[in-house]
Amino acid sequence: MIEVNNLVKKYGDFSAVKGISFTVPKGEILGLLGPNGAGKSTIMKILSAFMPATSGEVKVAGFDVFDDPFEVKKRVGYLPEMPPLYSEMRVREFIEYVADLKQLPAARKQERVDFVVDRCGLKDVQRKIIGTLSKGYKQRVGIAQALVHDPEVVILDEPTVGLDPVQIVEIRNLIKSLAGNHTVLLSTHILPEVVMTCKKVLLINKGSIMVNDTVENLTKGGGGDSLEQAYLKIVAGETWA
Amino acid sequence: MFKREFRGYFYTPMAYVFIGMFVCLMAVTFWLFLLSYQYHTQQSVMGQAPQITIDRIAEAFYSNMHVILMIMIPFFTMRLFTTESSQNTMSLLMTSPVRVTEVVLAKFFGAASVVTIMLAMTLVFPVFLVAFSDTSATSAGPDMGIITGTYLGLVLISYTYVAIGTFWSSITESQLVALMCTFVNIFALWLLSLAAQTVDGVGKSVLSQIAVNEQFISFSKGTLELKAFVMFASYIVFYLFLTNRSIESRSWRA
Repeated sequence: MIEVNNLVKKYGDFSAVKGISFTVPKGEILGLLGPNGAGKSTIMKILSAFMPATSGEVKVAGFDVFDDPFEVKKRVGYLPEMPPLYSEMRVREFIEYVADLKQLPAARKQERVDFVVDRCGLKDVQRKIIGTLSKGYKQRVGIAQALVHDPEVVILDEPTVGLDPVQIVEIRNLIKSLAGNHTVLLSTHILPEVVMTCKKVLLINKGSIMVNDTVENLTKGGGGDSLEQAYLKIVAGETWA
Repeated sequence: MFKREFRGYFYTPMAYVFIGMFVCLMAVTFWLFLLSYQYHTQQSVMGQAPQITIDRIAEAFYSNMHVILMIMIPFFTMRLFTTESSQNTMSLLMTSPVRVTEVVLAKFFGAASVVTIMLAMTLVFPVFLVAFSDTSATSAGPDMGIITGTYLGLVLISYTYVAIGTFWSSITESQLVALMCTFVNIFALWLLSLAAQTVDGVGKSVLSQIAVNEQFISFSKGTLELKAFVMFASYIVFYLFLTNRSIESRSWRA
């Protein structure tokens, strides 16, 4: 569903992504893990056809992001680090607007909007103005706008930031329930989150892949600890050396 | 998207405040001009001054309205793209299957229609002039040709300013910077007509052709020239094209 081949992204002289390749099969959840500035957000921006790559080939849902950005955009739901929200609009109205933007057929619109409002726990606030909501609710509206058009691929950049523990559990369950029908790429720097929601992990640092393995293999030794150890070894070794 | 843009103005009190302010300001101006008309007429009856026509008053009134529009439109357009950047909704638009041109046009026409409503409200003034003028020769009503031409000119020149504002708001994330740049740009275009008066020969004719103010004046004299239409349209297309480029270039510079 997602195929990335030798992807390079340079900002001027600085290489944010240095020749990364990976694939995500349909229906799987891949966790993108790495410290701040590792290139997670850059990869996600390129996959959502927001930003062109410097070189390399990226195919999402069977379409090349450079040649067919329109087709890719119809099939991808993207939540950036900072959720894109029109603060003066009402929650439901905004989600309906996004559904139109993503060209969701009118016949399915109400059903899908009802569905995401329900799943993201927005029922009580759907008539409220977005600007008046708390950070956690805004984040949920952000997730709802990424899912409303029933995209084949969902790209979530740190979706649980700013949520309280109960909400985090809810959102993780929501993400887990996406597996099967949707292919999910999830970035985070919260280790247990990866263990709980993802099947596979891509650990990146300074624009290169350090580990590409299943969660199962990584945690074989001592539960969640060995992932943490692996992470610290790789990241700390690089940063403090 | 156009619908959202247009309705967006009415979510907040901003559009109401703007339209209200504009209409009030114009009402006061209108009243003052009527007073001055009355004064001049009395003077001329006493033979102390030449009679002036209602058309002359209308022309002065509308050139006043033009100046007020020059000042108000930049405030109106400064938030067009700047808020998209600060709310990060630009990334939503850029990852949706819509063309940059569609976004730019939706923004432009959203703002332009609100300005049109603003202008339409001032139509009440010429209606007054017609309703309360008697048909006797001494105080005939305004020339409808001139009024029509003036409104056409006002609409075109306002759209040009909206296009300029749209462009500057796409350049920066700061509303204040967008505001100031739009002001300077509009003022510079206005200065062109002054410049046209100071030079001679080819320079003069070129400058007066591209000076929006000169073209507007020709409209408000009731002469509708094709070249003036073309000039306004070129300005609008030119600035919207630049906006398009500046938005597209963002993703490359990112």
